[in-house]
Amino acid sequence: MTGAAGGGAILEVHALHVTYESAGRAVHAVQDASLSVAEGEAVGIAGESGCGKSTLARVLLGLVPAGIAHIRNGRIAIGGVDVTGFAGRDWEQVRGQPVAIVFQDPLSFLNPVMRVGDQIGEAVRRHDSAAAVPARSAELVDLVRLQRSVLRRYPHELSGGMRQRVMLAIALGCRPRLLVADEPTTALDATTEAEILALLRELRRELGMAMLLISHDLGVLRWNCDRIYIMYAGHTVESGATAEVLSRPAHPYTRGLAGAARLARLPDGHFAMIGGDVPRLERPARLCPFLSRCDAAMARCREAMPPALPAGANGHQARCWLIAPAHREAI
Amino acid sequence: MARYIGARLTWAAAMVLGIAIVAFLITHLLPGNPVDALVGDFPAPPEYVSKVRHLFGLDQPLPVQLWLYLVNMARGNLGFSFLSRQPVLSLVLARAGTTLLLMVPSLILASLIGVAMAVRAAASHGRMLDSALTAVSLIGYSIPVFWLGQILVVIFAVNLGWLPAEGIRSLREPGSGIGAVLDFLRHFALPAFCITVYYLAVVARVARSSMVEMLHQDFVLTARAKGLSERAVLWRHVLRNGLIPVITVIGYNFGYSLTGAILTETVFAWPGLGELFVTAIANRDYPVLSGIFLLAAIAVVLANLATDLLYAAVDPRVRIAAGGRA
Repeated sequence: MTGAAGGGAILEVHALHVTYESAGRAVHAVQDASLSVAEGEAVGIAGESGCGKSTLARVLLGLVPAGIAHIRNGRIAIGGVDVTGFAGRDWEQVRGQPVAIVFQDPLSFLNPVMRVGDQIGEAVRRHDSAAAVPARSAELVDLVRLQRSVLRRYPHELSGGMRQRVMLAIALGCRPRLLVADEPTTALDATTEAEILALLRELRRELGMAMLLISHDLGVLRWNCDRIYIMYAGHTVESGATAEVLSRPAHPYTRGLAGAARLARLPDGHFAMIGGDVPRLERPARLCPFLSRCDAAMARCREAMPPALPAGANGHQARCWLIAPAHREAI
Repeated sequence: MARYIGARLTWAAAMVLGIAIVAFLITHLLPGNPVDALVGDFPAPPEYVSKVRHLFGLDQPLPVQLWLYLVNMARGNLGFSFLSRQPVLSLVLARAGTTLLLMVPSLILASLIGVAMAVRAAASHGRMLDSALTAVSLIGYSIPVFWLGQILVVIFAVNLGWLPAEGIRSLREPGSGIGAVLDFLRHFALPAFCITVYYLAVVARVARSSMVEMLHQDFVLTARAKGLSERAVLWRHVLRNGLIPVITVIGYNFGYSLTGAILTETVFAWPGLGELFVTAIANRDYPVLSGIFLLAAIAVVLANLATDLLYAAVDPRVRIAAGGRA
């Protein structure tokens, strides 16, 4: 399911399979994920906890634990360079520039014993000259709408929103072409969340960088992303233009997710929700991972994994037999 | 920060006073009688005993003795040794200097090597180097120092004849200038090695587990995500955070450095505080004993004070928690 982007993709992920292996046990966190982000484009990944979206974000920068996480299959290309086989110092040519990342909890992700200015300066120093550090740090702090005095502060002296702005300044200090934002507002209250999202939109407009925004909150993605991918149990199950996917979901999982997000009510007055539990990830799925919870499942679903099928306008695709032109067709 | 330092200093002063009182009382709880030790096994006539007791103020009620002790202590007078009749303060300080000459370089060396080893081990967590370093530090921790000391003496002093077996300087040809320094270093090598091995193991064990823990903290991901080399991540981000528990251990051991080498000093006949301590106990030399207690306790208090200040220097959160703004 490579999306709409043709030329000039900053990120392309194809059929990625990532496992965590330890003491003879394996967890297939990402099993079959494909996505692409064009230069300057804002792309969202939606999915519930444990669907593999954070693993996907981290594997892009080699930030998964070495020796435990393994790429079993698939391909990651960043700016046209295949990074799938990268190890150790190879990653230094990807991290920060061209791809930077901000994480969910800005307190634990900032070094508690280093001044904010030093943490930003370190990112600047990695990609600019030492002489440029003070001016560039001040510029970055301005850019994320913080007072310059925060440069002398420690993370624990700042509020949650300020910390996330510092994380952004660190990321932007690397002059990324793609910013990966892994649940950047989940740890924040609603007002601060809105401010950070607005800031992200402004920064993207000013700097023209692409963004991969990961969230469990469809509302956040709806207003901030050109295109969206829906992830379920390690699979990208649906993708397309955000408005199209969320208003005309093709995959039963997306329908359930959108219904739950709207707090839609069923005819009997109960809230719409998805029954059952997410599948266990000890073994890779051979059939549609949503099969056990799907109320539209049919015989075909128990025979083979559906491929990415066209589901609508603007490259809208879904991996579901329901939208196959003829259910009897071969794979 | 100033308030933090002030609070720590006040606390340290109160501790020293309390320790002085306890040190005074403890020596009086020890079995045996100083007068017996003073006059020896010879059955002394009662009037002589009471004369001696009066001379040293031992016939006064305990609170009065304590008061006199504290007043004299405040004047820098810790009394005179029952045994050698020398002032306790100068006796104890001279020996303490010799002990520190052995302990401080060994502890510094052990701390530096221990932390460096721990960082390397943590970086190769779970692999060969890590296991090897863990094994070495476990062995270093487990070897009794008196055994190691004697083995070293047998190998390097008796069999190979490279290094002297005991003492702090050669009595026959102490040399002068650079020669004296070299002579000292030859005497210093074996006991210092014993002490370094032990503390190296202590520091490395704590530091390794602390570094491994820090290596799995979220902020390490941010540091890596900036594109920093693993070296920079380790030495700039992991080390400084991982040092916090290590500082406690190093500070604690510095505090005990005055009395921490008793066994080593005995094995190598190093004329330090440990040796004085053993002699003083054997002779019930109360003034010397309380002098050593006091000095050792003050060393612990000072080391704890230094540890607290170092904490604040390394971890800005401590300054805030203590109420003082940096």
